Amino acid sequence: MKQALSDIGNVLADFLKGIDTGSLLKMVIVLPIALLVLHLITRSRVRRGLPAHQHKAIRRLINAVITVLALLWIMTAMGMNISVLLGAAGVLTVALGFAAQTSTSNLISGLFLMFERPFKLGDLIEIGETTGYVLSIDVLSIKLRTFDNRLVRLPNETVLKTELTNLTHLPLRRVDLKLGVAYKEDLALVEKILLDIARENPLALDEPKPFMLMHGFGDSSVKFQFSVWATQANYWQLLTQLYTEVKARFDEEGIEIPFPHVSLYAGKATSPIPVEIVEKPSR
Amino acid sequence: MTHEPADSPRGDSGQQNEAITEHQMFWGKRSLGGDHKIVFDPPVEMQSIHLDSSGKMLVVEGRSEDEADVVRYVLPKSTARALENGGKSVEIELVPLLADRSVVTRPSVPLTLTAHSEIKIHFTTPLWMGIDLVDPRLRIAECAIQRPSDTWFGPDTTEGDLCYAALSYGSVLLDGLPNSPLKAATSVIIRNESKSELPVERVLVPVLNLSLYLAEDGRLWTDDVILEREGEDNLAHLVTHTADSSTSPWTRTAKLVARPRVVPRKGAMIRAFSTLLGGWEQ
Repeated sequence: MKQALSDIGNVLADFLKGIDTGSLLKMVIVLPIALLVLHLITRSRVRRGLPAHQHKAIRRLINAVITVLALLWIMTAMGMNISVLLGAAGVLTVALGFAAQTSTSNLISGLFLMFERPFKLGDLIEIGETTGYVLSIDVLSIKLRTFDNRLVRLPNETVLKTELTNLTHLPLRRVDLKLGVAYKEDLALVEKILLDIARENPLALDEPKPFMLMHGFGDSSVKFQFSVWATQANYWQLLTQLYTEVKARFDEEGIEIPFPHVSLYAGKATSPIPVEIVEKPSR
Repeated sequence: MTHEPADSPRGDSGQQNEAITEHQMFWGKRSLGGDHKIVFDPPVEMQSIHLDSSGKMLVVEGRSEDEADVVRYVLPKSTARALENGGKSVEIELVPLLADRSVVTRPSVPLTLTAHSEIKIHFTTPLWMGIDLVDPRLRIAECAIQRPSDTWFGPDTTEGDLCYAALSYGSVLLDGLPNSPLKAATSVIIRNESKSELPVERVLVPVLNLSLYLAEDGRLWTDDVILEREGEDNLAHLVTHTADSSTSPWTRTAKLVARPRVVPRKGAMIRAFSTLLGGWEQ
């Protein structure tokens, strides 16, 4: 490492000694050309309509490449031997590579994400335990804004490795209500009431149709799912409205939503459970 | 102040006269001021329109008790100033408008059009109400008279358009069409120029591209629509006929009430037909 730094120092010293009027003139010509090329390339990317985050990353990459190339060109034009510099840079790169393994992994994962595009800015995504809106997609990480307004930074490597659900990619979403009614209830009537609730709510899509799907006989209720389709924008509002409306209509129609019942059995070996009979209070 | 009459089929001249009266009762110019307010009966989702006590705001009240269902529009300075300087009322006009999205309708029974066949079906679609200030002429608000349900029109849940679902079915016979000042009628000619059959379960009425007219019988009609299918898919060429070139004689003498929200492109292709999507299998 010391040798590499010393080489770079020698090269720079030679460079400074070698600067003359001609070299300065070359620099003055080369730099504006490099800047112009950079400007033209970034403009052409804008016209192709790339997503904002991808455009930003590509622009940064092109910026870096052109800057390095321009510097090398200037040095060569000034008669410097850049092979020594490149050799020293190679040693430095290896050293830095070891030190920045995680960053490199995130950088490469970021490139894969950029081209795969599983989400875009503003999408609502779920990664592991975190759900939030995508605020930014950067070279090393993505940032999410959660529902309770926290900013979560997720390294690109984690995003690439973990199962990711994009909740807003498709235009529609199904609202699934998990419900249960007492065994004594008429299920045909329950279905009719639920379909009426969906029909009367303008946010519930008429097509695809709402439906009731039986889940089986539970410990204390007949379990089923009532599913209604909605647009992404109306999902949460409809979910709340439907649960509220179902509770109100079931109460109105006298349909029981049971909670878990526990039967106590004392058995022969134990004495009976004591029961106290009290008078019904007068209203 | 006004109410929606019971939907009834078009009938004799007596009923026509009644329809004109009903239309005039609902739509048109009204004065607001002092304690005077416009009150609507169900099924209109608005409850009332009135001026607030300061005379600077127009208040549109919905039916629910919720404060969010009350919208207050601040009037232009010139109108508020006229009221301050002794003006007693503000004149507004209730204007019928077509829906702000396409409407998906269904024939009363599913039909199948054989190759090279055509059929004319009459549909009704829900209306919106424009609340216009008369002087200066200004659209203050637009609201659905009876908000229809949303529906999805497309081959599956990943591709399609968000539309409104019509509240009633289409009819091949004109007499089967409900007559109401709160609905617009549209005649749709479906032409199947393809070699294959065309099942017609759901039809898209592109109301955004249509003008609205008031016919002599008091009914609100739109431009005629021709949906011409040539290929094997659910796309159709959209052709609209304005009142003067209408295939329906009753609209030729109709008066223009509202222009299309979006002017249709000539020879536009639209996704016009769809089968029912079902529910759980999606």
